[in-house]
Amino acid sequence: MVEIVCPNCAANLDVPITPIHTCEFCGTAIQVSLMVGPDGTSITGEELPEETKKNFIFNDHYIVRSNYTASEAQSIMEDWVKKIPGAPQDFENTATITKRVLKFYPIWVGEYNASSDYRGIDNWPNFHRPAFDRPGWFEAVSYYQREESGNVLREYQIPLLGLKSTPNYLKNYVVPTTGKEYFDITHVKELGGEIIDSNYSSEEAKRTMRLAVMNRQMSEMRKEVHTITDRDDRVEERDVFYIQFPVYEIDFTYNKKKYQAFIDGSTGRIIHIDVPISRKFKLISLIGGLGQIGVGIGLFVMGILIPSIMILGIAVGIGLVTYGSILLSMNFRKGAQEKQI
Amino acid sequence: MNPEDVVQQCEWCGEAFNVDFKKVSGHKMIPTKTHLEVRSNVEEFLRKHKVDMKLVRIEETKAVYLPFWMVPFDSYTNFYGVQQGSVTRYRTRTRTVRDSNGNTRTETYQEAYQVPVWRPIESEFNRSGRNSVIARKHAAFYGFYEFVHSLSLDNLIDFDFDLVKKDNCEFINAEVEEHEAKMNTYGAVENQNRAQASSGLNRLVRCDSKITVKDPLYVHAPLWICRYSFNDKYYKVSIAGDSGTVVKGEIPISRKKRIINYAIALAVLLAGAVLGNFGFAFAAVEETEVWGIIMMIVAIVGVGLTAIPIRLAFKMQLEKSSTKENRKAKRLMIRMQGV
Repeated sequence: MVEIVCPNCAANLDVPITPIHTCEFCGTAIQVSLMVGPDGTSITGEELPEETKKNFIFNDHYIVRSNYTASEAQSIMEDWVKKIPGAPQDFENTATITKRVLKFYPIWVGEYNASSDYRGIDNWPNFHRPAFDRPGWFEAVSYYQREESGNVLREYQIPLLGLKSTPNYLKNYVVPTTGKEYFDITHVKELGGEIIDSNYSSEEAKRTMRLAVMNRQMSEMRKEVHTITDRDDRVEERDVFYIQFPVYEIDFTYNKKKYQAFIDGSTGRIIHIDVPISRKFKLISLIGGLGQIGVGIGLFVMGILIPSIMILGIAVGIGLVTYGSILLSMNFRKGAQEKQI
Repeated sequence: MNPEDVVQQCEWCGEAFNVDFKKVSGHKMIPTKTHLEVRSNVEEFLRKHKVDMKLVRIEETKAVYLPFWMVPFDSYTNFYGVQQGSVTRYRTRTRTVRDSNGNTRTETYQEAYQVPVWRPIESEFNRSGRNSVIARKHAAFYGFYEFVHSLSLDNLIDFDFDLVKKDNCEFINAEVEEHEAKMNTYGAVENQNRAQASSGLNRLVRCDSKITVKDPLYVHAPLWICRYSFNDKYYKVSIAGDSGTVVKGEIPISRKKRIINYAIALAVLLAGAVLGNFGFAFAAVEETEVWGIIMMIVAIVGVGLTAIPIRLAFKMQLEKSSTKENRKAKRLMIRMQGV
């Protein structure tokens, strides 16, 4: 931890040495890494010139508002979970909510224009042995390497989750940043939310996003050449935003087991939920699944032993074992998520 | 005004302005069907998919006017690639056959075989059209892709803010500038042209497109979201406001339907296996060999098809989208234009 003075509201803050910290009093995104010397001590104070203080603030700081309260988010989850086959239909009465937290996660969004001239090698065809019965066609084709050049002109919006170790449930989630507003700490406080700060400094984030732009340009070039021998990239950074978006994390227990659910606070969409399976379904699926597997194996063996019903026994046997396994596998479902689009 | 809104609408006069306070000319809109028409189409959609309407309650229907840039473009593409085909050739073979008396003899026959062949393809095409770019970043609306595919500019009218207010529709300003929309279109058209050039080719070697992107039209189009409950479970449906038709919707699967699907799968499996068993016996005899093989093929296909009802029996819900219908309509339109 290090003691710093907020460059905006002059509050004394005791903060971890992270790249960015959001002031809990005024909501300013403070670039802590710029304010801390190599020995870990704060190099700033109230007496610093205004111009220097401004450099410590990341101005393009936004928030996506949560449109749901914690109880509304819980109610959305309870309604949704009942649609999952096997989940308890009396979820709201039988599950116990142990924790409800609203977290505002960090995401960087960079907007770039990119133009790349490139030279590279591609495989060009050489045709051999004309087909005697199909004019214009050849029986063999070989490839030789040839130099090519071109230009790729694109515009990109690159999102970068501000956490170096991304939670699993957020890995494939497209964060809807539509509706972002200038960061407002009162909204976070009103809902009792928690701000999660970025693990990336603004410079690190910009470097990473620029690299992503270069990689995307490369994949465009690779559509024309398999090896790039020379490239000249002109990448223009138009805007970089630092956005906090809301996620409700709800912990609950069902049948003494712990589960978690994550709900997008801005859209009410279920990002991920550990699926609880009801006792009744477990019993039915166990009896039904194992019964089918047993009958299936029996028929399979009969099919092998009795030649006159060989195909009948084997086919129905394999079919029943498959159906039984599907029924049983529903007890081991890890999680579910709501479709985004 | 939100910081992200690069084109802002005056709530009083309905004029659109960009961030430099310059008027965005030619602002258009697609008028929406009424709330009642939308609701009735949702009910029809559910009835069509055999949902028990006695258990359905429509909880909410709301519309949002989404901003789009409709970007016209012309493009010329030339490409070079390799096409693969095959030719059928015949060779003479001999085989030993046994007749019904058990006597064997040797006969010659012509056996067909395929030889792969290749040819160079160098061609060009012109493509013009209009690319719809949603003027919001990271937008994720349910049924959005289907809605964009269904958009038609036939009903365009000058923007009228009173029509937006009429049905209490939500209104969204543009977050994407005209220039960004043009750049986005440039990349999209280049990729689409590449895809068109490579279709039917074994390998696309070179593809060059010259693309002219023209000034876009700023259009607001209505998308409705309807939420309904079935047996105390909630489902959603997206409706294109211009036509009032459902573009994507969730459909509940009742317990009865699940059991029926499971029973169908079991019945087809059993029937397929019985057929396969007979087929196997028939195939062993020379006179009925062909029938036996046909029966076995039918049996395999039938058993394979049981995957469909089994999947339905275990799915959380069904989802129907209009993409297939749109494709069919487009194909029909192209055919009619060709005529």
